[in-house]
Amino acid sequence: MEENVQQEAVAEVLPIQEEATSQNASNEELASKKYLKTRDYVFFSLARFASSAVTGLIQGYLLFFYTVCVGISAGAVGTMFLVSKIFDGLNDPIMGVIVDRTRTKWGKMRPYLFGSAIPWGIITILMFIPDIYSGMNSGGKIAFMWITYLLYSILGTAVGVPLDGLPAVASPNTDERAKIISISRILGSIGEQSALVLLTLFLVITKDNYSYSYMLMAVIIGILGPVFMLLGAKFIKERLEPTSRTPNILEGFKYLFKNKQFLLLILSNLLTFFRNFVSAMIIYVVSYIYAQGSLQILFSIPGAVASMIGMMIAPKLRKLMDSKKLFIMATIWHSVALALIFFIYIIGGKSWLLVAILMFVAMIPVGILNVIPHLMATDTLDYWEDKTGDRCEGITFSLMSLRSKVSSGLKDYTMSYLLVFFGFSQALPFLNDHTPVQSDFTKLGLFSIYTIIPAVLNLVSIVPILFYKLSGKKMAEIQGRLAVKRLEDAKKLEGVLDEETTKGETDVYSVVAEEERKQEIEEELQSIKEELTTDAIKTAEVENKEEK
Amino acid sequence: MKAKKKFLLITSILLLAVITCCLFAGCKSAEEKEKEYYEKVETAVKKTVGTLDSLTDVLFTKGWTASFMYAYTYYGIEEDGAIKPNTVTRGDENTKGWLKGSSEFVHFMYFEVDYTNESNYKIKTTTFKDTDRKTYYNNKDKVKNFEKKFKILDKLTYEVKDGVASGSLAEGVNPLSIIKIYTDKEIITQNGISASDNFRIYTHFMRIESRQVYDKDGTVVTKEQNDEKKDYWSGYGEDISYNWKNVYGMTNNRLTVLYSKGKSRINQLEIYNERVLSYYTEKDKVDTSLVLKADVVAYDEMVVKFEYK
Repeated sequence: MEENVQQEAVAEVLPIQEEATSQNASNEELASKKYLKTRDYVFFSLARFASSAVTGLIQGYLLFFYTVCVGISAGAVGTMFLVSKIFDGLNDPIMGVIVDRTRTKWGKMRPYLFGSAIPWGIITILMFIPDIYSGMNSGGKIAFMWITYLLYSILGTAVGVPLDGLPAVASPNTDERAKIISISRILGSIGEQSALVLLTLFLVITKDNYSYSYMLMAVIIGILGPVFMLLGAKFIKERLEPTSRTPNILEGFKYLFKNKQFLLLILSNLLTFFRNFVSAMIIYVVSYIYAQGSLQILFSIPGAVASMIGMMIAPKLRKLMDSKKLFIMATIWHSVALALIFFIYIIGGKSWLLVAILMFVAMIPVGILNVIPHLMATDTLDYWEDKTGDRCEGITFSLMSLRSKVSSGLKDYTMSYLLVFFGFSQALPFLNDHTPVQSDFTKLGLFSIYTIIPAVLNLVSIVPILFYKLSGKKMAEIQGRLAVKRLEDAKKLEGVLDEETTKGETDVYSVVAEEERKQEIEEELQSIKEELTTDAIKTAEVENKEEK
Repeated sequence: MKAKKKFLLITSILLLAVITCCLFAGCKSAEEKEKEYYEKVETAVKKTVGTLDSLTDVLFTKGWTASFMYAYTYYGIEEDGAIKPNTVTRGDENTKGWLKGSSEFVHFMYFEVDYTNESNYKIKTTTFKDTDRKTYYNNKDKVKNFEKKFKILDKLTYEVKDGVASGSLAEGVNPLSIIKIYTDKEIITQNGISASDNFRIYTHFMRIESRQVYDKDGTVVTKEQNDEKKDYWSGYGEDISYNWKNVYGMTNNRLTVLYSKGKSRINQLEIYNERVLSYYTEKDKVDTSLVLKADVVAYDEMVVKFEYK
């Protein structure tokens, strides 16, 4: 057991050590050691594609299905979304702890994917079958909605948390992790749009019958989604042994309030839910303002492509400015572009083509804002490690996930409230596929929820970030100190493993204990210390000069 | 110890009994709930209609101008280039009636109204035909484009000077008549199904919905006129369901008013009416047996923005 812990510690420490000492030849060799195979990339990305397809279907279409096809009031749906998503968000840390305590021959993540993927698909289909609702009164419909949605949320957490955690245990190589996360995220973005492609196809086939188009779309995603997820779970391997220490839930929540930089990041991210109005409102805009449901694809795909471009350029922009500045710049860019679209619409630029083109420009920063908070979260991890010596990835990312779900609930609730506020006319449940014409006042309201309202409210998310201290310079200092610490830790561990290897114990990742290597680490450590000392002297000199 | 357990058991049973009694006492019968619902609706409608009535009174005592569209969208069958809006039929158990998915058309008229008072006003109108709804929606705010794009059916001027009318305008499409009919106090009060009157940041927002249900003979069936309403519908609010064997059709009317409370002026008035028909059609694409369904067969809409003189 003890040996395992040491092996894990080496596995965790060494790759990071390599980043810090990249000039060292043997470290470079170690850093470049590959663990992931093509099948890992392919099947994990496929699983991510599938899970994103399911969540994209639910997040993008369920509110519309409930309010328009089933005829449940927007207020009732909004309340259910808010409550269930807060409940759902609380599941994440619990699921994180459950996963961390799991020890099976298949690993700790994959068993949950095997067990939950199929029920998740079935519940997804059940939610979208219009005939189930047809015999129910409004109380029955609301009860069915609550039960199925809560089940969906629980199963979604049981799938989502292990899926998020898989890259971390699939390889100790940081570059490989980054690569698999990046590829799978881009495929996930494509997966999110699969519902739209299917909907457009089925709307054409069923001649704009929304209820049955939604059902067919859910059936396809609900069947293929679990298949892809099971393939992903089967072919990706968990290569890192789990650590022995697992924090409990209480520690998790305490961490949120102790690590103030992380708290500021979470607060800011919580307030970014307004920007999700844009994609969620597309269906209302095309159906009620332009009276052409089929336009949805022409609004959504360019937005998704723009967002992907944003994700791709984010690392390059990150080299030009630190995360804090980039976050603020992207938020302002998004808000200004949305406000511009609103004003152009008000003065008469109502053509859907013009709106769709301008929306492309407005959606590029959304891609940036999808990446930057994750980078900032890793910065807060380094900050915390530097401050306390402890590193809490699991808690950090489960709280990020909780934040995401609470944000999603807040988005749905606020959007439902705004629909009521602007006098959105509900479909009559006793009529087949009823889409009442909305009043002019409501149409303006719908366009406002799509553009100017998120434009203004998005800016609020900048406020907590203004107090965020982890700027580029500060992070450089923190990472310098951590590099030294990790080298020292690695040296100690290698010493211990050296002894064990000579006693005939097995080695780990074939990277332990060569005399030359120890010497190199020693030299590297010395050079970094000197560098830091020189920097400290220089800083002190500058400070002295300033004081004088 | 046993005594304690007994005490706990008896207390629990008693508590449960008290809670159950309270719950039953708190519950209302379906009839009571329904009555309460209709009373609430009636109060809300009366209150809102009161405000509306005073606003329309002011409207017709002031001078104003407005230019707007009136559009009538309907489903029908086109034969030899001729549109036949009245070809929609109910059918019967053996014969299929109107089928959704057939052609959809929109006829619309552009109005310019210059109103001084009931004895002096002028209406100019241009009527268009053979347009499709998608094009109409994309261009409805650019009236001039229509004159270039579509065939003008007619251009008319109707003028009332010192109470004497000159020119021609069918009464049914006189916008002043439409406004008067759809804001009529008596009609709305009798058929109102919901009403709200709220402040919406920059304006007051009023919404009144009314519904008229017709039986097979075309007679209006309302709560007041027919006590045996359960032959026609049951439930209330969101749970209302209609017995389509007895209900032939209905109209849903929605009136939205944006107004200035301080000035007692209507700034914008929106009228939207749906005509619903029950008809026999296939259950679905797999089961082709004929069943009764109801759907919107036509609707008209009008948005008037008033500019006061």
